[in-house]
Amino acid sequence: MKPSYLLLVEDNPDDAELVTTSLKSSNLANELIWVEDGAQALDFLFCRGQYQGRDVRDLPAVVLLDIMLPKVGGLEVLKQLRADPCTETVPVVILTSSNQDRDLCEGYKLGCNSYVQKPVVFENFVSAVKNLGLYWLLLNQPPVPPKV
Amino acid sequence: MDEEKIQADQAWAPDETGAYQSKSGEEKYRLLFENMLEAWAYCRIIYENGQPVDFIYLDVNQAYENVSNLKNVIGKKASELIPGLRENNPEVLETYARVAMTGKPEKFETCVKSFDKHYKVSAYSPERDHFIAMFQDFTEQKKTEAKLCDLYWYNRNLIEVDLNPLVTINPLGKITDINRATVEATGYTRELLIGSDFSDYFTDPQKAREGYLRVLSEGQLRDYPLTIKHRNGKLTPVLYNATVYRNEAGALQGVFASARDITERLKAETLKEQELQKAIILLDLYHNAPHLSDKELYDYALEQAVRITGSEIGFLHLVSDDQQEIMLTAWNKKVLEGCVAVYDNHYPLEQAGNWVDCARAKKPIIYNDFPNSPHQKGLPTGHSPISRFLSAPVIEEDKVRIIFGVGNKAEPYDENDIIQIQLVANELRKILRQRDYEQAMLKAGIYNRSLIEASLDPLITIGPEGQITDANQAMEIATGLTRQQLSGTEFYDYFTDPEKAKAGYLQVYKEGLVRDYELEIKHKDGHILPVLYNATVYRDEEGKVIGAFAAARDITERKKMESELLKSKEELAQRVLERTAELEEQKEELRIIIDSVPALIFYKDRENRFIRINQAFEELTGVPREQLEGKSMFELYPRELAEAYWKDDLEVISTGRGRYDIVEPMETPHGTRIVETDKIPYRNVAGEILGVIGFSRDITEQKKAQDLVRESEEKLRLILNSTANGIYGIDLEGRCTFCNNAALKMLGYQDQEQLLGRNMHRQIHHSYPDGSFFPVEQCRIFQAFATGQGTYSDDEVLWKADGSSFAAEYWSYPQFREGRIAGAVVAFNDITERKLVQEKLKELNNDLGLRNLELESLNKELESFSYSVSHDLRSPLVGIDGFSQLLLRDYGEKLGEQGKNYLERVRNACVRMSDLIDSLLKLSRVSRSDMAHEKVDLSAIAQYVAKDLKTKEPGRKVEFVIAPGAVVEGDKKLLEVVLFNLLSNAWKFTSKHPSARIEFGVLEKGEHPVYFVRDDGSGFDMTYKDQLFSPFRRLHTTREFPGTGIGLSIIQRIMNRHGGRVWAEGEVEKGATFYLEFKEKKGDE
Repeated sequence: MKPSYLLLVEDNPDDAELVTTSLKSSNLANELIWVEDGAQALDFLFCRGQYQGRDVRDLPAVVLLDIMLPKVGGLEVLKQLRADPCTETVPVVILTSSNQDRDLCEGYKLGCNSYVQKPVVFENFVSAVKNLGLYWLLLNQPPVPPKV
Repeated sequence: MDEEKIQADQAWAPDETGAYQSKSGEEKYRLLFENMLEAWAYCRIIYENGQPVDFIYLDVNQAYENVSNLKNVIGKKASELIPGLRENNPEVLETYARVAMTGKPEKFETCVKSFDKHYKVSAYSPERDHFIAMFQDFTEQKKTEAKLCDLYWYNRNLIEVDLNPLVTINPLGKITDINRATVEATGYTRELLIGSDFSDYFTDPQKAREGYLRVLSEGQLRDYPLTIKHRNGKLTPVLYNATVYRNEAGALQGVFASARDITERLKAETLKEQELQKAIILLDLYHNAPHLSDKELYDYALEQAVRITGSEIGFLHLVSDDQQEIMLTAWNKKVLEGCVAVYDNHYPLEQAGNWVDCARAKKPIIYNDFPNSPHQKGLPTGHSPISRFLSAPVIEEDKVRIIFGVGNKAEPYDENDIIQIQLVANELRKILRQRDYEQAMLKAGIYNRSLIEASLDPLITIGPEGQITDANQAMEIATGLTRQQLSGTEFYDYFTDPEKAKAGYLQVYKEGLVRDYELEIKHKDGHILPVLYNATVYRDEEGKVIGAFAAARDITERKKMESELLKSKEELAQRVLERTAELEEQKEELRIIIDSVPALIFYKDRENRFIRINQAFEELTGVPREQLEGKSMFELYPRELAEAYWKDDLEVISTGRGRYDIVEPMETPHGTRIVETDKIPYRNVAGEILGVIGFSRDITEQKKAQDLVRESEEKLRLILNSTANGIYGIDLEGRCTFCNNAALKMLGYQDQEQLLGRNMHRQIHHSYPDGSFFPVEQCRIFQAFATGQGTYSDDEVLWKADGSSFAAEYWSYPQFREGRIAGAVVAFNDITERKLVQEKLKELNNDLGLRNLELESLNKELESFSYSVSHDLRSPLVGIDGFSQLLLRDYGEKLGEQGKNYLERVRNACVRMSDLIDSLLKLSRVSRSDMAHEKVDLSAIAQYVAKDLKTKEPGRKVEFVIAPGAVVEGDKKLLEVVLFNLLSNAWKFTSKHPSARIEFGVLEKGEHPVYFVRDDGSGFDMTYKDQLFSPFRRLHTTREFPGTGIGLSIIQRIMNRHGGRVWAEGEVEKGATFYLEFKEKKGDE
């Protein structure tokens, strides 16, 4: 089963909308699922809470993960994903405003697949998101889905 | 009030019309009622809710008022007049109401408590709800009855509690009443007793009846003895007192009989009789004893014991002294009647049956129910059966001597029997003891006689007239005459000097005794025996002198001894002569010894003359003994020296005390020698001082050695006293043995003497710095003794003479002498100054630590600040720019040009804000990042940056001049930033010129190389040179030259971190030069 969607973890609705808008221009908007905090992201991926009953094997092509998130922070989400055999291989791209060494270091250490700073200039933003969408949905060869 | 009267009253009840029959009749009855003695009341019942609750008085007569003590009752309610009537006597109202309701008359008795009166009441109803009550007060009668009743019960109780059986009998001899004591005495119930014939309850009914008749005829009877027979057979001997009793009219009613239980009295009488009997027995026993053999005595005593206790059988065992064996000694025939077993007289106590329990328990034992008694061992066949028995031990000195046993008495044995047995037993024992004693006495008499006989000294007793009354065998031998021959003769005839013998005898009579009176006994064959006489008088029981007892001691041997003594005296004289010769020999020996001693020995007389000298003296002086002995010192030595020697001699002679260790020079052929001399008085046997004895030792060599030691000690002292360290020594007790000058000075003493011998710990080390007591056990100086190793301390104080203290460091080293610790040497310094410096350093270090902590926390704060800037300040910019762009894209048409322009400006501001934030973060990163220390080739970096700049803007005409080999030590990344910024600035600020020259070079002036980057661009006004390096300060507009104004700030910080500095020189439109100075040595932060 080829992964068919992107999971955006973003607490700022403005940014979420900008991401959606950016994807629309490439007709990828329908493939976006948006959750608003780290806890929700984990619930989604581990199929629990409000997402109970979801197929665990139905993983996103990529998780676009902000760092500063309410409830459970982005880096903690990453850590938990990597710790679980079901999600340890799911691609994660950190998409955040910070370019602090500390975040970069920690992000890579925890096993993110990519780190992208949100560009302030919108044209750059659109292009970044578009590229990410296209790359992860179409170009990238997904990991072998876990056998459950 | 009786039956007829009520009926009569009823006849006068109103008829159905309710009216009385005639007025005159009413009046007549009214009078009758009024004057009646009986009280009378006419009342109406009061109802409430249909229930009778009270009654009201309608009429009463005078008698009622008298009886009730109530006045003016008419029209009043009973509840008012007799309060509590309804509560206390509810039956009254009930009865009245019933009478008033039913019309049926009733009679009752009541006690009105409120009045404390008893009434008989008749009530009837003249009309419905009305009643008439008539009262009869019988209170007095009632009270009398009660009193009688009380009296009866009182008497009854008296009778009942009487412990004597009481009985009343009617004239027909039948019992009419009895008390509890009678019930107990007879065992029959009251019901059975009353009405039965009284004589049935006595052992002798005939006698009882006779007594009864006597009462009737005589009116009374006293102490009439009878025996009451209990239902169970028990008999109670009693004495009866009885009287007749009559009713008030004097008619005979019956007999009242009271019995007194005399069981106890009879017992006492029996006892008395037994006592009497006992006395007789004892008397008998005592009286008969002398005529009886032991065996007969036992038999007799046993017989008495059996008889006195009323027993059938008896036995008597003696118990062996070791308490192991019993010996059957006496028994009465009945015991072993028909006993077929051969009874062994001796029997181990251990195996005996319970008849010897008394010996085991050491107290009398009674088994009244023998067949069921404990510890039975059975009886030999033929032994007469035993029903009960009593056994008692006779104990002397805690040992059982005799076991007395009696048995088969008709009644049970009791305490009394024990007393009887013990009495006989003890008496028996007493007699036996007496016998033992007499026998012992008899034996003793014989013994004494034998003693006299056995004596080897001649003994005689002499009567008052001087005649011999008795003599022993030795006397017979001494005189050669038999006792019979001697007896009755004059005693002095047997001595060589009869007069002296007579005188001695008189002296005995006069003085009571003589001692060692010398006489000679004359044997009939003529030979003489010298003796010494001791004699005393002897008296009869009354103290009268009845003779003398004389004992002679043969002194033949002594006489012999005396002559031998004389002989030995002569021998002794001979021995003395021999001994004297021996002493001479010893004297010679002494001389040899004296001569062999290596020390110098000499005797001198009081005149300073040598009497004797020994060989060592001779040798040292080199003068032969013959030339010295007998010579005065004055003859031998110069006068001065001789006098000096003599002075000591005279002192010894006059005081009698020795002088020791006199050190003097002595001239000898070997040169001057130093001698040490002890002089002691030379005494004769009587203790008179004849002169002096001298012992001298040549100590010249020793002295030399001592001098050497002293010298080296002096050297040492000099060294000690020239050092700046305080040094002192202590012995094992901690006492000061020496102390150098520096120590004295530091401790504030003037003289070593002030410390020598003092306990140094107590003197200078007694307290801790805080003033608290410093026990010597904890003193590290002393630990040098314990461990044998040096100790060091620098955190204690030493105390000065003036009581102040100073911080000191000290070393304590143990001192060894012949492999043993003998003391310690302590060296110390005053380290007050050092301590102060240390304190300060410590303070500074502490400060520094604090500052470091502050810095660290500041750093942390800064880091979290920039982190939050990076995330939170930057994030909104994405939205602002994004939505502005969307607005432009989707609604551009509607906004118009002006609107679009504004939005563009918003977007530009956004981008600039983003740049500013990035710059700010860069600046803070420079301050925070870790520094590396490595060789950095600045020239290479400059080359690289230049190339990069040229590549980005290939169109510009810029000449780079880069000096090679500029290598410094520092952080490569940071220095890259420095050069990038400086070269980029130069590139930027030369952009307005058509061509430019940018130079990186080195100035070799001063200690350190100074690197520079120079351009010929727009330059700057030196007035503002100080503002150049402030963050966000710019000397140009963004439009002129883009930038955030953070680059130079970053450079300055990086240079600061390298311990270097940066400064600038410039001129407007002439260019600018930026200098970098590294202070390499201190360059690492």
